[in-house]
Amino acid sequence: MFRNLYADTRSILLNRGFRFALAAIVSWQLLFLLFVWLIQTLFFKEALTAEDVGFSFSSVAVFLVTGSSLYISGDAFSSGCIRNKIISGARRTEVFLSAVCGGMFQGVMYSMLACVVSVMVSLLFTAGYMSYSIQEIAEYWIVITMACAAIGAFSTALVMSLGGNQLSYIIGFALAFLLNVVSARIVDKLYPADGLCALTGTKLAAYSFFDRFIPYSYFTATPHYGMGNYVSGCAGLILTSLAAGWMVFRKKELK
Amino acid sequence: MINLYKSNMRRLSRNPLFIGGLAIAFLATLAFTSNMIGLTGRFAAIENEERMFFISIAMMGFFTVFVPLFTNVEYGNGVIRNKLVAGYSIKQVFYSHLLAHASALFLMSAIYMLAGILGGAKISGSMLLKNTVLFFALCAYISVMLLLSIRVKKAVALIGYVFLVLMFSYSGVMTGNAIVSFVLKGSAKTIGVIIYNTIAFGQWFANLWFSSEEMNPGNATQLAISAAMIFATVFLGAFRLDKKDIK
Repeated sequence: MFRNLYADTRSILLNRGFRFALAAIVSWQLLFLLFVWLIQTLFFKEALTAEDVGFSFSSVAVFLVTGSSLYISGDAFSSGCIRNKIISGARRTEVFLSAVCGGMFQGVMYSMLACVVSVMVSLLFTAGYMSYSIQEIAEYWIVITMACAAIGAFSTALVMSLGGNQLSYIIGFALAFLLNVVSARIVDKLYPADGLCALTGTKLAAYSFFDRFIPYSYFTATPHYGMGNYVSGCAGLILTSLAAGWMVFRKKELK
Repeated sequence: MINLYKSNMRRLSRNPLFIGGLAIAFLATLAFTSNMIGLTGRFAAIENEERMFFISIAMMGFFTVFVPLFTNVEYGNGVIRNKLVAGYSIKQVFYSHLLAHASALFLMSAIYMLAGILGGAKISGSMLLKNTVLFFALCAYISVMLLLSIRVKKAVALIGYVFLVLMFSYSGVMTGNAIVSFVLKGSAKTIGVIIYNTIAFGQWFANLWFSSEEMNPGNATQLAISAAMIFATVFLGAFRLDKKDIK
């Protein structure tokens, strides 16, 4: 198991896609800063606060983590790495678990880098946070890190169970896109900008469940439930991905 | 070139994804336009042709998946290489795919129009004009998808890029609505509206019944923007394509 984990971590760290994603996080934060700064200075003539630019990672996180984990685990399939591991005596369970851990590792690394870059940008270029305490900011990054890890695990399990097929990429990216759109709509319905929430009954229960327990929705708004909800949502997605992915992968015919 | 186009159309006619897409386009347009599904609220209050136009954007989602799958598979199983060996140039392959995808869009649009009319949409000049604008906007979108599909050989990277374009289209239009309405003024606003309309999703949004009139620069301008987008993407797609390394 540790040999697998070591090999997977090493291949992730050396992967071009992983480095590209790290560079993309830094560039996106800086571009976002420039864009908001231009709008604030040219049109509103107001000072930049950390809230304006500090949470920009959320808008790209789902797509970035999904893309990177699909790219890296898809590579492992197409280059024959998975087959070679099994030939060299590694058990399927170990291969699968290690790949999913790799997906989670990517999510955590991206989120941590985004946190560091966001703090640096907030300290250097803005007047600081006006309406968030340090504890709230810390909670936000903990939730984002957990959600990134869960999404990394899910999309890796998807590739492993579909065997690096094109379908796995389409399902992964389409889910990332659709859930991004859906969660924005759900937040809009649950917490309307004008007036009170008009939802009732099953619809309210379904929307609240999505908002509370589906990690894809954690990127749309800052944490507004107890930490336990977020932990169980992320743990739920990781465990479901592990169980479903492992059941398919252990019986799968590998080319 | 005509042979390549014919072979693409033959593949298209046997493609289960395309046939399924046509069936869904027919059923979804019919159900949505005639409101068989019993929508309430603002969707029930509008005219049938407005509901029909609203559902038309599903074609954008379909072609986001279909264009890369249909074209990229030719790289994967060596079809493009075989076509080159048979004496065709890669530019001819590119143009034949462009025509095939435009024909696929035309077929799907025809099915969509038929289903809409069966569903009770009234045929009028403005309805036909709006749908023509969307057809050309989607042609421009398809050329962007094909530009990526012909340039990027690796399936996972290609699918990542096309979904990135889809995501930026969606976020760009949502952000664009706010920026054009509340931030930009004067000539900056005119430029903002033109950029907004370079996105097929933006042209669709600008023609919806609830969209602000200032987002729509006029149907003639929208058609001109689509034509410019098609020329630009086809030029970029074909530029030095012959130099591309094929394995």
